[in-house]
Amino acid sequence: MPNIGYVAMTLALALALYATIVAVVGAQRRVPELVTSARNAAFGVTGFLTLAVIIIEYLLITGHYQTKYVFETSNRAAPIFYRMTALWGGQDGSLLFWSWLMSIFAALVLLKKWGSMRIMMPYVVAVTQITVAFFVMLVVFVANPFEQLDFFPADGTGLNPLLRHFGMIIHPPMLYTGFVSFVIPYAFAIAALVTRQTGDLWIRTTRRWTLTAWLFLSLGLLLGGWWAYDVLGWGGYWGWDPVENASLIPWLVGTPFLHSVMMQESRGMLKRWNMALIILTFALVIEGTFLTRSGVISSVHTFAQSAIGPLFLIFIAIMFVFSLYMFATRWEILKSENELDSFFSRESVFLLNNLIFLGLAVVVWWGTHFPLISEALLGEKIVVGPPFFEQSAGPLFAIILLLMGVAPLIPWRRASGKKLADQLLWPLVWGVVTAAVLYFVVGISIVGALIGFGLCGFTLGATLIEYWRGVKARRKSRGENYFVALWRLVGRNHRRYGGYFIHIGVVLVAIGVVGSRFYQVETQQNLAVGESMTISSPVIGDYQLTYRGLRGGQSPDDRIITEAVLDVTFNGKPAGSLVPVREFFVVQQQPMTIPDKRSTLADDLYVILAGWEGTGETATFKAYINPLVSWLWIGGIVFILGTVIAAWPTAQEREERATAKVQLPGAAAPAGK
Amino acid sequence: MARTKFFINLIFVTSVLVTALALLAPVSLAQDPDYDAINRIAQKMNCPTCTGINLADCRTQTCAQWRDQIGDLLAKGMTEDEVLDYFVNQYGTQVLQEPPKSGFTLWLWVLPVLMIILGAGILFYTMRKWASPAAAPETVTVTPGPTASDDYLSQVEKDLDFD
Amino acid sequence: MEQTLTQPKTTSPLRNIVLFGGLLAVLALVAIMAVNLQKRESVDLQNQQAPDFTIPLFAQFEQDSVTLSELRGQPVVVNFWASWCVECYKEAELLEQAWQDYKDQGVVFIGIDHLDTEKEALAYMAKYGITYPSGPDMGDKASQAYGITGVPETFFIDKNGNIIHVQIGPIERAPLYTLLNKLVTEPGS
Repeated sequence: MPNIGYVAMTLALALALYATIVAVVGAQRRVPELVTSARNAAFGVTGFLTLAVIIIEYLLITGHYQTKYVFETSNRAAPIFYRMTALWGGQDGSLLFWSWLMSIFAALVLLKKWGSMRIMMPYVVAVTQITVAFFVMLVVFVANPFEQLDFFPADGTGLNPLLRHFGMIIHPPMLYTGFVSFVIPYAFAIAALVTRQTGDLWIRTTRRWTLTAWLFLSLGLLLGGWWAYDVLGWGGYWGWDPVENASLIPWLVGTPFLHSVMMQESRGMLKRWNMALIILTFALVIEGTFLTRSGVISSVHTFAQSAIGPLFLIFIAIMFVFSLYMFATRWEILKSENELDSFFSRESVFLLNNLIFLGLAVVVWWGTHFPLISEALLGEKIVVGPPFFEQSAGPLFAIILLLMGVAPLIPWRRASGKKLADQLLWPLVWGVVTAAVLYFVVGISIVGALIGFGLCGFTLGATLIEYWRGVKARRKSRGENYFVALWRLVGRNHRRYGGYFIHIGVVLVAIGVVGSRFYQVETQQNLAVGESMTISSPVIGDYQLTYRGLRGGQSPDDRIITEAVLDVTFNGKPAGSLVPVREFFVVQQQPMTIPDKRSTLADDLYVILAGWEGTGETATFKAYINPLVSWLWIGGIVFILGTVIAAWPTAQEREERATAKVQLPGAAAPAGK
Repeated sequence: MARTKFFINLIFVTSVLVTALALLAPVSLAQDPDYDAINRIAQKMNCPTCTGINLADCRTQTCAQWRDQIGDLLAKGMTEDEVLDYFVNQYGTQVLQEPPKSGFTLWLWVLPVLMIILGAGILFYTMRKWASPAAAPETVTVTPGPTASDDYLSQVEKDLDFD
Repeated sequence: MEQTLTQPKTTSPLRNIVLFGGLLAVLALVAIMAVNLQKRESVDLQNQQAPDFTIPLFAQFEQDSVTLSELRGQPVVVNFWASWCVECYKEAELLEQAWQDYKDQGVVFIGIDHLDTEKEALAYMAKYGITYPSGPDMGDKASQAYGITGVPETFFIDKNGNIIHVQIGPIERAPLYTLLNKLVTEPGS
């Protein structure tokens, strides 16, 4: 059975290489049969990889521990669900999973877009298939999930206990989907370069792919944060860990890309820049994957070191140099109609947005790689922790927040000073009032928090005003009531109003970040049974935690669970109890410190059981107050909803796609005639 | 003479007793360490055996021992800086969350700032060029056709009574 | 419809900057990564000259410190350990026993305490009766020089300063004594 899996992967590799080569040859020599063959081969790749995945899942579920990967990532006691999701719990399996997802998306593209852009299709096949081929090559030669041990273990060593959480289950698939989806716009961009396209075709075609990629990447990042907060027990949600950063960096480059393609579509600007951005995004996706897996930076996440590192480097180098070469040789034909009517225009804001996001990407990339550079050049080991990232990235994020508020209010081309001032007035008032109220009434005095909240007020106001103006205009011109007006307003332009909804989501996330970052309070104390500890936050109030005792047991899963019971009072009134837990996984000899929380919109009371003496006569607790942290998760949901709205085709768009074939210059005559 | 001797003996014995009590007292007054003071320092340090988590948040036994060490040093009267220096001497600069801002490490902070300034400069220069209608010597004649989104936008603009 | 391209009179300087800048960036990245990937780990030290180190010794020892290069001509067993290292417990008494058996034949045992606190280290040594020279790895320098990836790791160095064996993880009696025999019977040069 495992051998069948291995053969399936090998066949997939062969077909992927075949598809790559034949697609290019078929396109260059204008032999449509070859291109069709390549297309079919691409479907074959997906088929074989699906077979391989089915087999490895079968081995995982049935507990075939002679298979090394099954041995290392699962055990008898693990519930079936965790045995299935062990597919992405270790290096080999997750690489297979990556390849499989990539092949699915590569096939999906071929299913949907085939008719309208036959000229670019062979190169899209080539780029997507060579990426698949690279990852499959890794699992076939270097990280084989079907490798067999030369003994027959009765049981496995089990999945890392940290991975037994819903967030951790779907976080990798979300991230991988995001990464893999970004390969599609890249493939189209390369295809456009190779076939010397100068128009928007590649961007318009991949618009939804880009949005989807961005959505999954954002989801993956948010889920990772939620998981860390919920399970790891250190009271935070983002540690600026190298692997976290490796998935943030493509997001930091993908987001401006999402925005500046809008400029290319509506103003024909930034053609070269967008090309550069998507090439960079792809390079960073692969480089991030390399960083995570090569062991070159140790991290809470990294997989073990192996020959994978050098192979990744070679792939990155080849793809990047090739892309660079294509870009440079097509430089001239990509000249845009770059006309900036005024420095005060939406164009300027978008350009600034690009600058700041790229600045953020530089900050995060540099900070993540600096220890490597320092060690390579000086032989000195250092660690770049959160302080650098927070201090450097914080102000930049604040500027983004500001730009997010300004951009919708400022028109394309030219904003007359007076008109602009009128637009900005109300949001500005909102922002200042927010800060003032917080300062004078609530008692917030940290400057960073005031600025942060003020900007949130400004941007939220600016975005809501956009909806308001639209609704007002519809009511005036069509006499619709508010609800219908809003519904139809959004319905006519999903991209714009979905996009604004995403911005609202971002503001909510920002509120959560500013609150929890500036006003987090923590304390640690040792309590005897019956004793209390207090934790207070200047704005939220006081919590009193009274230790009632320890209780424990062994769960069927083969872990030892110890729970501590604490009664909580909030500002004097009883507020339930919290039960933080320490789990000890016997097989892996690994403890987990799982927090319990009391969450409200205003704050989270977050407590962990740090240790105890004897049978719990005394125990040590660490308690945190995290103000406003729930808004992070609420914002995340709004984010997702907004992206779904933005990506959903409107009735008008569906009509257009069905009837017209929009003729664009630069699209050469379809091949095959 | 005998009285002097008596008093000298008395003083001697009293001193011994007081000293003995003074030495015993710390033992019987054992208290919980000030975890919060320890954590404030530990937050600035890294877990020695794991990565991506700071010394205050880490729950391994090693980290607990290191935090105890911080407690001991604080009890000896060291300031926060002295404690951090001790750990750097003992274990290297890799124990700090924030590398010292000296020598090569300055580049950690400086480079992103330089890059952003450079980017802003390029942006400003480019925007100026685009804002002035002087044509570049090499031209490619490409006429951008109407793009579908233009229609959407004009529709929305119409709806919005905007400019 | 193909569009007509007028021949550019000069190649855009920006294009060249982007092209060469990009190539340079990739080159730099690959170089840095290559250096880091080749980071020497302890296993690579097999049959190499043992990196020199100087460590201070704990208070109970007469000498203040020990330097490896000063021991040239004698076989040296360097053991990296820590009080929090569960695997180290397995070999602790064995190493002490081997030290007792071989010290008269000129073999020096050195214990390098890795990322440990003194209080715990001394307690560990007392518990297992360790009497061979041991001290903290100040600044983590020896650990980094030897590229250890964990503890315990033991290095068997012959009279000429060559590492004849790198032991990752605890060692058992038979291989330990075999190696020690080899160290003492090998001629020095």
